[in-house]
Amino acid sequence: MLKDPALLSALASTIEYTINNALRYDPASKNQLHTLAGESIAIVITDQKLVAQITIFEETLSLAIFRLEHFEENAASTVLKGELGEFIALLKKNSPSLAGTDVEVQGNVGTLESLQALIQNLDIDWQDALHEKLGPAAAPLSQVILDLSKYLKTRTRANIDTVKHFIEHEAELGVHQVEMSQFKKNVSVLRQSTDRLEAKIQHLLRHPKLNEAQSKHSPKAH
Amino acid sequence: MQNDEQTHFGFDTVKASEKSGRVAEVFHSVAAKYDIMNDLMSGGIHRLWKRATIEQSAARPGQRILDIAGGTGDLTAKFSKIVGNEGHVVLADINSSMLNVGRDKLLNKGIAGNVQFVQADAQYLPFPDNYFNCITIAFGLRNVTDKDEALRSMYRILKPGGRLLVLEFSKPQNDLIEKFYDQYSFRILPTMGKIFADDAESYRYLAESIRMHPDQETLKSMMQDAGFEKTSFQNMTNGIVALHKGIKL
Repeated sequence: MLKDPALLSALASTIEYTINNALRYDPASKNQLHTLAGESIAIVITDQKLVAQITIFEETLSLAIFRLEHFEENAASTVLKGELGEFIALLKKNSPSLAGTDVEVQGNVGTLESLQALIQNLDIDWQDALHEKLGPAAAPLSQVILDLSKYLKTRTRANIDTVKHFIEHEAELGVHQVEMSQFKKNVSVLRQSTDRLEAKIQHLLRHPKLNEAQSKHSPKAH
Repeated sequence: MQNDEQTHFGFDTVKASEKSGRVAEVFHSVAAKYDIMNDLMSGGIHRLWKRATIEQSAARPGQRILDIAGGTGDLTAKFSKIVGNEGHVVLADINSSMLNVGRDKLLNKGIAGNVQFVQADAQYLPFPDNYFNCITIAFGLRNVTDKDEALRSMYRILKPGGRLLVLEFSKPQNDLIEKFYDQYSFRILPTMGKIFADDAESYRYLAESIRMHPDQETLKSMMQDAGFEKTSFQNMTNGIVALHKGIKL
């Protein structure tokens, strides 16, 4: 577990640098950041006892990661509390809604939704980014990256649609839940009967004389 | 302080009245190359230590922050951004050379407007009572002649609910690291000082002053004696540096 504040700072610094660089090459998102300037969102990861606090400035974000015992709740306008798994599930959900999750929220939910939308709609200008690093020679390369990025985005969307369609279609073809439940019940009854029969056979095998006597006293079939 | 007359200057014992002058000489000498030497000596880790300090300051827009012994303004630059136009940051340093380097550096970065530069002794801070929301002193307390007096002075000018953060070299928590650190401090540091800043003596003082500085627990109790509550410390890089925190309630 990360206990050294310097290591946590190194982690925060790396993430912050990545996000701010991405924002640099997406002027539209950067402009939207103005509307959120001054807001602060704290993500309290209760099981790890860690806090990630995002503070929004005019054109950049600042990220601080520190131990829970050093957190002051009134230092953030929005506080989210939950376990790490819950936050990961929230990220995978791809929706700003907290409904159906165990993540608690205090303060201004609007800020959170705006920030999440901003990050999801991040559209990095690769051409500009590469041009700045490599000069005019980067133009053909940046076009390739741009095309590849567009292709991957389209393919990802198409793949998600295919999987969704497959699951829905398969669900229609499958056995209905009521039928399945009845089938399970029948199997259970059959299993019980088999067990009973097996026990009876065992009993008969263990006590052959008792069985003979029983058969003598029992009325003979004519 | 050892007694009314004597104090430490590195491993030397000097008259208390002489220490600030001797420390001033050291920092006049290193001011111009202070930043580059910090990066070289710490391998850049001093930036992470300072960043962790800022992260735990809980500074917010509109607050008043005092950065004592602020030197070349690393903390002030970040605080200036956090407190915004409504807030106010004071960079205080006893040494005029360090203050000049810090002021020029911040102005060159375009940081101005909400920052004030004050030449002041940490023992006698020239500010009103209950004035600042947060006070930081990074790698400065060990150079102060009377540390208890300085802590009391900080307590006086801090608002109730305000916090003091002391970032300072401390005692490594592992014997092996301590041995390596000793070798590094007393052999490599002065050599680096000689090569890069043409000043081995100042960097020898740096290593000696670190060894003479109170360890984690001692500094914590000194802060309690000055009136701070909820005092705590966190070791960084295995205790080579410690961040002490205290609240004025």
